[in-house]
Amino acid sequence: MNEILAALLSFLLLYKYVALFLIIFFSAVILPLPDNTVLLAAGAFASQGYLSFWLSFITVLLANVLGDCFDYFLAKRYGPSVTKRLHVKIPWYIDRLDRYIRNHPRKTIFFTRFIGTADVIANLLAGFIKVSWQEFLLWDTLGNILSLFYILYLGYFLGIYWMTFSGILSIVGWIFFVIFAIAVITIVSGYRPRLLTKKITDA
Amino acid sequence: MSDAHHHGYAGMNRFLKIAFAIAVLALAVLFFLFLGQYRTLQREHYLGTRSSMLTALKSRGAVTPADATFIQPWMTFDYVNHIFSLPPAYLQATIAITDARYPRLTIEEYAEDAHLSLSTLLPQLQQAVASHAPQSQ
Repeated sequence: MNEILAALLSFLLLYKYVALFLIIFFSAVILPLPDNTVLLAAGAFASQGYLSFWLSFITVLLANVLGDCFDYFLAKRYGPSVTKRLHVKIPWYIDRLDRYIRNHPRKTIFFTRFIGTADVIANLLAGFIKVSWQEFLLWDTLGNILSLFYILYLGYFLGIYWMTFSGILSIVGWIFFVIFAIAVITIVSGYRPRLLTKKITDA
Repeated sequence: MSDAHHHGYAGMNRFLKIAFAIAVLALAVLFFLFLGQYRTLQREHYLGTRSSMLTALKSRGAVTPADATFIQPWMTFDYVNHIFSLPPAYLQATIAITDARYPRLTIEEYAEDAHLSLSTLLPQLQQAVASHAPQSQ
């Protein structure tokens, strides 16, 4: 177990819900913390009666939604002015991603909640292109309810075996992240599978 | 479309093709790592038959003193007391802990402050927890 994770787990055991809130909030904002492993551990601690499952769930949901909204508002308020001041030329592939998110904001916000650091990128882009806040909040909350519940419940389900399974689960997380990266590359490159193109043309 | 723009576009397409190839390669490596981990779990009987898994998972929250090796340096004494259902004063008396922060103190922190090595303290703790079993039964 790495030192950062060990320190976070000690912090969680010492300060319970306050620690859980802070870890998940800062991880949602931008810090690359092993938040999924912490959630798995919190679920396991809940199965042992050391934490309350529902209180942990409400805490992590609140922390994640607030962290996501922080990113969204930061990008919405300062994103355009910072890119203008720094004379950053938006590359065409970001432009394409931007167009994709504009066309499918709900799908993008909802599904990126399940893919590690992808949610931070989606939050920032959603804020930058000014997706409506109500829409962002709704799909962010819905995505977070499902994604946080399933990790926390998985920890609860595994109980004392959570450490044994954390390795394989983190690999599964990375597999999802790489699949997401492939999807982004496909969107950016504008590639359409022949079958899909044919169906669209026929229609 | 200007020539420069066209060349830039072609360059980006090449970049995307390389990124795509790297991502697919990473996916293949991750898949092999997943298989490796899966086989390890299977070998250690964590992934066995459905009935054996269900039996194990039914007692997922329960830890007995026989599971004392489960104790890790990042755990607090409070947590150890809780999961092994130990009276709060038990470890304090057995290990002779004088730190005022007990039990809200991690094992690692205590070892550092008391100038003890973890390789000495952990077996001591495991022994203390395991020997609590006859008293609790």
